Amino acid sequence: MKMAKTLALCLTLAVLSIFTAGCEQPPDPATVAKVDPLSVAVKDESVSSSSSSTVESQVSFRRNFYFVLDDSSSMAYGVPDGGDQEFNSKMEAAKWAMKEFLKSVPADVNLGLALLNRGEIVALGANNRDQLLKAIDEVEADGGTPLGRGIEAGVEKLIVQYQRQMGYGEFRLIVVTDGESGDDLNWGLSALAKYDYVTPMYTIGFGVAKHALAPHSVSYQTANSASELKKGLEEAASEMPDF
Amino acid sequence: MNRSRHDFDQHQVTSINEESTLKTKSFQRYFGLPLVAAFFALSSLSGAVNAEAKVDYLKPIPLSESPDFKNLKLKPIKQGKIRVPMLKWPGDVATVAAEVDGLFKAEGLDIELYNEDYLPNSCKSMIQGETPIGRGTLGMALLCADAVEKAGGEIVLVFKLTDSVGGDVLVVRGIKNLPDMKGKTFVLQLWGPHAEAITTVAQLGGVKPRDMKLKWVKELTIPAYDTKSGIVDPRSAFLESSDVDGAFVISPDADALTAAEGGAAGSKRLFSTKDADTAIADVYWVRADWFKENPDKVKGFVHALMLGQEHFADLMANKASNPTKFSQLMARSSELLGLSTGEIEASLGDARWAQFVGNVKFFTGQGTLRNFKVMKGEIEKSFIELGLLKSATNLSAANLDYTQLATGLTNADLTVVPKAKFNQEKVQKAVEKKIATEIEDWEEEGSFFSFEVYFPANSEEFDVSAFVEQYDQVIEAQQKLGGAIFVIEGHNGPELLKKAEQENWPAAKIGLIKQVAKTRSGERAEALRQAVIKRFQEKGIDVDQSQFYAVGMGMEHPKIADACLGKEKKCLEQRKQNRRAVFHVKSAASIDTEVE
Repeated sequence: MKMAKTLALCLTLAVLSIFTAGCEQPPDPATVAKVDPLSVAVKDESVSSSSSSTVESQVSFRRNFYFVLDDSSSMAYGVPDGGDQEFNSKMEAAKWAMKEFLKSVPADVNLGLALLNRGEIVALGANNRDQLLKAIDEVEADGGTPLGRGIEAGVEKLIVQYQRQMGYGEFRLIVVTDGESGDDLNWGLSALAKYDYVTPMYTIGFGVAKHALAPHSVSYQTANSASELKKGLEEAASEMPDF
Repeated sequence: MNRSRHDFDQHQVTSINEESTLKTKSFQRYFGLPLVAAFFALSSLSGAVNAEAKVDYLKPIPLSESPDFKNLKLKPIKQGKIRVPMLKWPGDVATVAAEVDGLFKAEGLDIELYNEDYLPNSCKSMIQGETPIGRGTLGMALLCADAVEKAGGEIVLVFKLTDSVGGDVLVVRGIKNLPDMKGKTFVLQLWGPHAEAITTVAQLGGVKPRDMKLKWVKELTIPAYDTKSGIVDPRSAFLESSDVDGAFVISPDADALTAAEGGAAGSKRLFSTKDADTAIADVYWVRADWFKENPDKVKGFVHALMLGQEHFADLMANKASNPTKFSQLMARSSELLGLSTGEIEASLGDARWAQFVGNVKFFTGQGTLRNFKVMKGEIEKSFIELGLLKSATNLSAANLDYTQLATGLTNADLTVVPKAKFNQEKVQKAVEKKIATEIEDWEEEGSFFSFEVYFPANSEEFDVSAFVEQYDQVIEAQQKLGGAIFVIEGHNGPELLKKAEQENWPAAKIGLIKQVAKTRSGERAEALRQAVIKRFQEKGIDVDQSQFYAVGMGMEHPKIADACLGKEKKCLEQRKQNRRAVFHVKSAASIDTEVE
């Protein structure tokens, strides 16, 4: 099922590319030119212009967690190894784990949520717990796994917030996925490298022991059950060792 | 209005061989030079490379001891119109507004405004009964108070017109910061407005008046008369004399001295009244005997001045919708002050009008340390050290009833918090950019003063009560440097980053470490910023928080780059010194700031 969806997406992209100047290639993360995230203009649909100069900002030390949830069709499958019999699917388990996890997140943390196939469904911000919980409930698994573009978009959202906070605070990109990328992962990896990893990525592979994102993540956790997924989320949100 | 030549003969002053009909121009304060002055300016500058040019330095003596004041006795005030002197200073335009709007007449006063920039002339006029009113800076008021006292009278301060907020500049060479002023030589005008400014600000760097070598000249700027190759102004003296380290000048002269072409090599602005925006207070004073006999006239005069400042502020705010009235005011000011309307209009940004609220604060001390009592004490002490006074004067404040004076005013709310001077977002960005891209300039440009606070490992908390003395120094500095920028840098130790780099940790983790360090250092800076602001509030002193900026420097600028990692006392101390916040006071001119 997942393979079929991925193939369909690729075909669609291939057809679309006929009408464009050619398939755009992502920059190489190893050689991408680093830019100062405070000076760059980022794509931000929440403001009227793409210019960073329109982003109103003030110093803030807030923490920010931006979730990128894999809503591909395969998330509708059962939890691997029968880890959580009470959940019919990985998506159901993920929803439970995220909602449980949110109970422990301090109120002064900004939260946001994007789906791989539907984009942002809760904008990064404060005091949006209820909106986030409702949005999680409504997520359905249906589509491919465009992790490269999903991560890139998540990084850009965090960079807008980075600019709003004038470069202070924490900006974590938390990716929950059950499979390898269906598009070119370099879109996302280049975005991380371009801003010199001021938006570090934490990845939880649901039923995936090894994942291509692991070497590029501050931490990579394998989860085979809802409770392990919740634990992985908690570790991704844990405080940095102070110094 | 006549000033005789022998004013300065005793002090070898002068190159004046004839009575100058342009003498009022020669004492113009702050305004640009008229054409004739520009001509002589060029002559004087060519004299700067002329080996025969000689600076006519004066001996610092009290005004009361100048020849014109010897044997001078107080005379009764003449009847008739009340003559009110004004300086060539933008602040006085509001006084003209009071006249134009008929505010003096409404108070039952028959006023005649006139221009007199030269303190010996205006002070002498008071003693001789030509006018009951004097005009100058607070320092000039003290010099006049001394002279009037010697003549058998007293004067009383009645009104604060303005603060200078940009027109006066200390240009230096070879001096990085205020402490560097110690032992250096500066040239400035005798009995002018700058003695109180240089001494007030130097003391923030721990430099007392006697620690500096001050040389005095007759004029504030290049005069309009022919000096016969003699140099009589600070700008020309600075250009001519390599042994002079700085000159206190008006802003057009500062522009000339610091210009790439034709300026003084290696010169820069150390500070200006844009930074030290309470260093020069312009005031009115009256003879005490006249005040005693005419208290209602004094109250009426002050009330008209307050209303005039309000009318002028409204007109400035609505200039576009009332161009005719503005033009009329400029024309009348031009007529009275002998300057072009363009010169006057261009200089209006150099003054901040005190209005009612500024007067109440200045005379009562409410919410400010820059009040009459404190400033009088400071200036008198400095002037005594400099030889400009022999002892403290009997200058007093009028103790007016401000509740009564508030009648009819629209801006009389004393609870209004200070308006933000700076656009915080833009200044924060400018400071961060400057530090990130021009760190050498940032350090080279120096600070007015600074101090450090150390933090425990893994914390942005510190013993707030251990630094009260330093906070009070900051408060004193802020009160004197209301236009400066206060930057608090927070720092982290670089040890974790070093370990990560040595062990080739992934780029993602290194990025995270840097980001957390930047944030932690920012939190340390903010903790110190908050402690200082809280101290202001505890002391009941108004504070404009837009002057204060916390910046996280991360781990990139350790104080001890090779701090050892062991648990020995030495290592612990070295690492502690890296976990610090550094408080800097910077000239706003060194940062691309935007004033609100």
